[in-house]
Amino acid sequence: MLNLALVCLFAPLFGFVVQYFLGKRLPRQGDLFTVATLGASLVCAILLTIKALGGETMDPWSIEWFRPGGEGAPAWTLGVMVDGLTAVMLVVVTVVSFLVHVFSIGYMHGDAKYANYFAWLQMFTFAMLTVVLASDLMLLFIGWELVGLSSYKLIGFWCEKKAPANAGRKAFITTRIGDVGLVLALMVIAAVVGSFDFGKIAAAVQDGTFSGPWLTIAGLGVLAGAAGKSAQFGFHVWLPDAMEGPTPVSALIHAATMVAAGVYLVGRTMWMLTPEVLYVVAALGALTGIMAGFIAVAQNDIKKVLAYSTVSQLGYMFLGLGVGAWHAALFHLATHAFFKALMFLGSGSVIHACHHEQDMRKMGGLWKKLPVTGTTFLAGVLAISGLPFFSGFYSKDAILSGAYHRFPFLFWIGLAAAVLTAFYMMRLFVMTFLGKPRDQHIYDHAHEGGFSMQMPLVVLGILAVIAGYGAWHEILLAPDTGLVVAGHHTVGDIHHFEHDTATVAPLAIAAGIGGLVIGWFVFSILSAARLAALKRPLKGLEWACSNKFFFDEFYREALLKPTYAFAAFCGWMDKTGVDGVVNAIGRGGLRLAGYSGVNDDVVVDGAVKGVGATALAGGGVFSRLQSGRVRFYLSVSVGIVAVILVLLLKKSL
Amino acid sequence: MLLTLTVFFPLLGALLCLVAPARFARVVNVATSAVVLLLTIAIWTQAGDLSTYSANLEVGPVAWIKGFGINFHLAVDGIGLSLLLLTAFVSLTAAIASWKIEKSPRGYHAMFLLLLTGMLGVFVSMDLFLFYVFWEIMLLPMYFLIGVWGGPNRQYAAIKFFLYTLFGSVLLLAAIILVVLKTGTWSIPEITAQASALVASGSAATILGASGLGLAAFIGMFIGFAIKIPCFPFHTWLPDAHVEAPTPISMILAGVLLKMGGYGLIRIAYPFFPTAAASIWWIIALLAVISIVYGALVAMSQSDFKRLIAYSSVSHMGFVTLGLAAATTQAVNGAMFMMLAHGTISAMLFMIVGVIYDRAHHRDIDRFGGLAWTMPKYAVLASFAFFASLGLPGLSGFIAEITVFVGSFASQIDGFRWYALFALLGLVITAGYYLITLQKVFLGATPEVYEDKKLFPDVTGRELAVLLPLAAVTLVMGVAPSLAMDIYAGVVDGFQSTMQTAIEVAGVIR
Amino acid sequence: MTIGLNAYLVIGALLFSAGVVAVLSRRNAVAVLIGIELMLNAANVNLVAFDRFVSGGIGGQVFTLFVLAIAAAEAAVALAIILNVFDAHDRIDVDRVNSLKG
Repeated sequence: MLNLALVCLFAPLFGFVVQYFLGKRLPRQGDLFTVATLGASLVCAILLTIKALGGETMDPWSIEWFRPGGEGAPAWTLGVMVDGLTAVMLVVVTVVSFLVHVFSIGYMHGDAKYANYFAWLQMFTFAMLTVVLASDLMLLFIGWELVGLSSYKLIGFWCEKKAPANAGRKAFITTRIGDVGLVLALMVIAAVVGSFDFGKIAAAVQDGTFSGPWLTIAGLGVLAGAAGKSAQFGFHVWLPDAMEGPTPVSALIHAATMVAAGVYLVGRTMWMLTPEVLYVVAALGALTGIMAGFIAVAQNDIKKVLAYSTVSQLGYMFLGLGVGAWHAALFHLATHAFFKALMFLGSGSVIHACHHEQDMRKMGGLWKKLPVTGTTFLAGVLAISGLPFFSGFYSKDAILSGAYHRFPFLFWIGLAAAVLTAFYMMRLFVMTFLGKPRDQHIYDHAHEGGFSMQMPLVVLGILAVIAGYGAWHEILLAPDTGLVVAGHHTVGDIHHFEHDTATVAPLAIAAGIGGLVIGWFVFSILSAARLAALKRPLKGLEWACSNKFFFDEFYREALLKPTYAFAAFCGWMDKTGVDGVVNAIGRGGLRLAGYSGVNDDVVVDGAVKGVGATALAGGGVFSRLQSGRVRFYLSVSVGIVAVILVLLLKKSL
Repeated sequence: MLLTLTVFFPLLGALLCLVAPARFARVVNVATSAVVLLLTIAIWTQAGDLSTYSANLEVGPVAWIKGFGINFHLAVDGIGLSLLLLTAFVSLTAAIASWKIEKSPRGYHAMFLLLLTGMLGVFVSMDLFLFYVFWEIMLLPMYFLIGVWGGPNRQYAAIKFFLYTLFGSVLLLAAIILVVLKTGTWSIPEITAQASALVASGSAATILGASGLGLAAFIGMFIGFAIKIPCFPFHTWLPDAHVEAPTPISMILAGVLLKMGGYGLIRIAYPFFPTAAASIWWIIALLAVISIVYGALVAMSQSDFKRLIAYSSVSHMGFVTLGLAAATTQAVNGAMFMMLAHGTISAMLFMIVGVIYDRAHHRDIDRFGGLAWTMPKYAVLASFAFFASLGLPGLSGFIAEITVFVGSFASQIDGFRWYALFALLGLVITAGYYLITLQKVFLGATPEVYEDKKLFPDVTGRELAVLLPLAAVTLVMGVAPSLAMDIYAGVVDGFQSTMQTAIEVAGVIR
Repeated sequence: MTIGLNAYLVIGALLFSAGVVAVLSRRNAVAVLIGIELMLNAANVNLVAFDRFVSGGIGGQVFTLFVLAIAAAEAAVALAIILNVFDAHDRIDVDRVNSLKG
C-alpha cells in the first residue's frame, strides 16, 4: 500500500517538475503528459480505495526529517497514511483533478501559457494529495501552504490583468491570516505534546496530558486555518474574487478540493476539538451557510453565484462537523465535490460557448444550443437542492438530522439555507438555460465544446446522481474507526445519524422542492413587471445582498487602510523619529558645552534649508540640531569629557 | 594550519589584486573566493566531532602580545563552521556578481578580499583581542566599498555606517576590557567555561561579580552586537548603507555581516553572561518582536525596492534575536538556521534588485510593472526568492521561522510565549508586502518603457551563475534541513543547557 | 637635577591642550588632523613615562608602538577622507562641510 500511496503522491510532483521546465518542448505542450501522470495517480487512488473498502488500511509510515530539539528530543517526522477518510479524499481529488485536466485541454486551448497552466495544475494536485495523505500536522501544513501557493498562481494565471492578480493576492493573504491560527496550533502542540504525529497527539488528548485551555486554543487555531481555506464567515471574501481564475481552476480548487481542505482538516482533527470549539464550528457553519445563500440570490455573474453557493455548502459541512455528524459532513464533502465541480465545469462550458461572457443577464435559452451541458447541469442543480434519489439528498439530509438532534436552532437556519440553495440554483438555471435568449448575438454563436469538454461533464453528471448510493461511505467513513474517536469523544458523541428521521427527511425534501418550485415560478412564470413589484418590499435586503453585506468595504476601511496607514507611519517614524533621538542626545551635549551662537545658526539654518515638511510637521525640532559641523561636534564631546573629568576629580578629592 | 591558511588566503589574493593588471583583478577575486570555499569545505571534512572545538584543526594558542597575555588562537566548532561555509559561499557569489565593477577594479577587489579575511577571522578567533581586531578589520574595507563604489549619496551612508558600528564597537570593547580585567584571560573558551561553571554552581552572580557590573557589560555587548544584527532601535544605518552600497556589497552586508551580530550573541554575549541575559530576557524579546513586526511594517511602506529588502532583513533577523532569547534548543537551532537561510535568501534578493537596477537605473517599485513578460526567467527567480523569504514550505526560510516559532513558544521562561504569539503578526505582514511588490513589479500590464527586450534582456549567464547556486542551497536547506542543522546542533545543545540553568538561577523559569 | 614623572606629565598635558586647541579652533581639516596627532602623541608620552616610572615593564612602550601604527593608519584614512571631501566640496574648511546636517 505504501508504494501505491507514494506513487499516487509523487506522480504529480514529477509531472510538475518535467512540465514546468520542459512543458513547452513536449508534444502538444505536455497536456497529455500531465493527464498521464495524473492518470497514474488516479489509478493508485482507486486501488487504494478498493483496498480500504476491503477493510485494509495503512498505518502511518514516516521518515525522520530533522531534529530541531537536539539529540535527545524526538525528531520532526513526515509521514503518510491511508485510512477510509484519506481514501475518500484521494478519490475526490484525483477524479476531479483528472477530469479538470481533460476539460482544460479544450477550455485553455490556444492560451499563451498553456504549458505553464498544466504545470501548476500538477503542483496543486501534488500539494492537495500531500494534505490528504499526511499522517502528521507538519506535513499537512506543508501541503497546506503549497496548496495556497498553487492557488495563488492559478487564480492569478491571467495576471497581465489587474483583477486576477489582485484576486490571487487577496486569496493568499486572507488564507494566510487563517494559517497564523494553524501555526499557533502547531506551536501549542509542539510545546505540549512534542510531536506533530496525529497518533501521538490523539494519545496525548486521550490520556489527558493535552487538555484544558491550551487544547481549546489549539482547536481554535486549527479552526482558524480551516475557516481561512474553506472561506467561512469572515474569511469568505477571497473566494468570489478567486473566480477571476480560469473556470476549470475554479472547479478544481475553489469548488471541489482546496476549499474542502478546511473541512477535511477539521474532520481529520475532530478528536482534538473540545465541545466549545465544536460549537463554534457549528455556529460558524450555519452563519456562513445562510449568509452566503442570501448573497448568492442577488448575484448576476454565473461564477459568482456558484462561488457563494460553494461558500454556503462549505458552511453546511462545518455545521455537520460541529454538531458531531462527522460522517455526514465528509460524505457531503465528497458528493458536493462532484456536483459542484460539475456545475463549475458546466458554467465553464457555457462561458466558453458565450465567448467569455459571464453575465447571466445576457444568457438564456441555451438549453437548445448546449444539450449536454444543460442536462448535466440540471443533474447538478437537483443534486445540490437535495432532491431525493440524487447524491446531495443523502448527505444533506444527514447533516440536517445531526443538527436537529444537537442544536435545533441551527437546524432551522440550515433548513432556511437549503430553501435558499434550491431557490438561487433554480434562478441560475432558468436565467441561463431556459426562457428566451436575451442576447441574440451570443445565442447564435453558442456551441458545445469538443469531446474533452463534454466527457468530464458526463462523468461528473453520472457521479452527481449516483454518488449517494451504495455503502461505500458507510464503510470508509465509519466514525468508530481510526483516530476519529481517539480524543475525548466517544462513539456515541460522534453520531451516525440515520436519514429516515421522521421529522427531518420530509422537511428537507420540502425545503428542496419548495425552493426549486418557488424559484421556477418567480423567474420563469412571473412577468418582469410582476417580479419587480414582488421585489419592491425587499429592496433593502436586495441592496445589502447584491453588495455582499459590505464585507469588502468593511475590511478595506477597518483593516487594510489602517494597516497601510500604520505602515506608512512606521516608515515615517523610522526616517525622522529614530534620528530625532540621536539628535536629542546632541542637544543635551550642546547645553552642557554652552556653545552659544550655534543655536541661532542652527535654528535659522534649519528653517532656511528646510528639513522637509514631514520633519517639521512631526517634531522636526530634533533634526535641526544636527548641524553637520565637525567642530561643533568636537566641542560638545570635549565639553562633556571636561565635565566628567571635573566630576570625577571632585569625587576623588 | 588549515584555519590560518583559510583566514589569510584572501589577503594573498588582495595583494595579487593590487599588482595584477586591472582587468585581471576580478579573476583573482573569483578564484580566491572559490579557493576559500574549497578550503572551508576541507575544514568541514577534517573537523570531525563538530559539537566542540575540533582538536585537529586548532591553531595555537601562540603567545602574541606576551605582556598582556594575548594569544593567536584559532579554532572552529559547528557554529563557526556553518558560518564559515556561509561566508565563503556568499562571498563567491558576490565575487561573481562583482564582475562588472569598472571603477578602479584593483582597489575594489583588494578591499573585497580584505573584507573576506576579516569575516572569516571573526568566526574562528578564540582570543577576544584577535576577535576584536578582525571585527574592526571588517569595518574599514566596508567603509570604502560603500563610500567609493556606492550610489549617489554614498558618503553619507558610509559615514553613518562607520559611526554606528564604531559606536557599537566601543561598547563592545569596554565590555571586553571589563571581562578580561576580571577573569585575567582573553580566551573565549576559557571565559565561557568560567561563566558556565559559575552558573552551574547555582550562583546568580556573573563573572564580573555580584554587582550590576555584569549586567552593564552584557548590555554593552548586546548593543554592540544588536547594531550589527540589526535589532530595533539600532537598525537605521542598514537601509542607508544598503541603498548606497553596490549590489555585491549589499549581498555581503546582508548575507554575512549581519550574521556577525547573531554570532557575537551566541558565542560571546550570552555564554559570558547567561544569568544577566536571562534576567533581562523580556527586553531582548520585546526588541526582537518589535524588529519583526515593525521591520515588516516599515518594509511595507517603502517604494524603493532595495530599502524594502533592507527592512525585510531587519524583520527576519528579529527571529534570530527572538530564538536566542527563548533559549530552548529548538529556538536556538531555529535562530542559527535563520542566520544561514537569511544569508542565502537575502543575498539572492539583493542580487535580484541589482539585476533590475542595472537595466532600469532606478528602483522605484511604483514605476515598474509587467516585467514577467519582458524577463520571464528573472520573474521566476524573483518570485522564488520572495516566497523563500516569506516562508514557503520546501524552502529554507520556512524551516527557520517555524522552528523559531515552535521553539520560542515552548520557552521555559515565564511569559515568553506571549512574545512568540505577537511575532506571528509578522507572517501576515511579510506575505503582504512581498505579494504587493511582486504584483507591482512583475504582474499587470507592461508599461511601454519595459517592453524593449534589448534594454531589458532576461537574466544573463553571469547573473544566473549568482542566482542559481543561491536558489539551489535555499531549496536543499528547505527540503533537507538536517544537512545544515547537524553541523551546529551539537554546539547549540551545550549553549542551551547553560542557558537552561541560567534561567533557573535567574528565577524567571515558568 | 633629575627629571621626574611630573615633568613628563606636564609636557604631555601641554601637548594635549595644544592639540585640543588646534582641533577646536582651526577650520582647516589638515590642521585639525595635526591637532589630533598632537593629542595622540601626548598620550604616548604619558604611556612611556608611566611605564618607566610606575610599572617598569615594557607594556607602555608596546602600546606606544601600537598607537603610532594606528595613528599612521588613521592619518592615511583621514587624509583619504579629506581628499574626498575636497573632491566633493572644493574646500577642506570643516565648518563649511556639513553634509551630515539633519
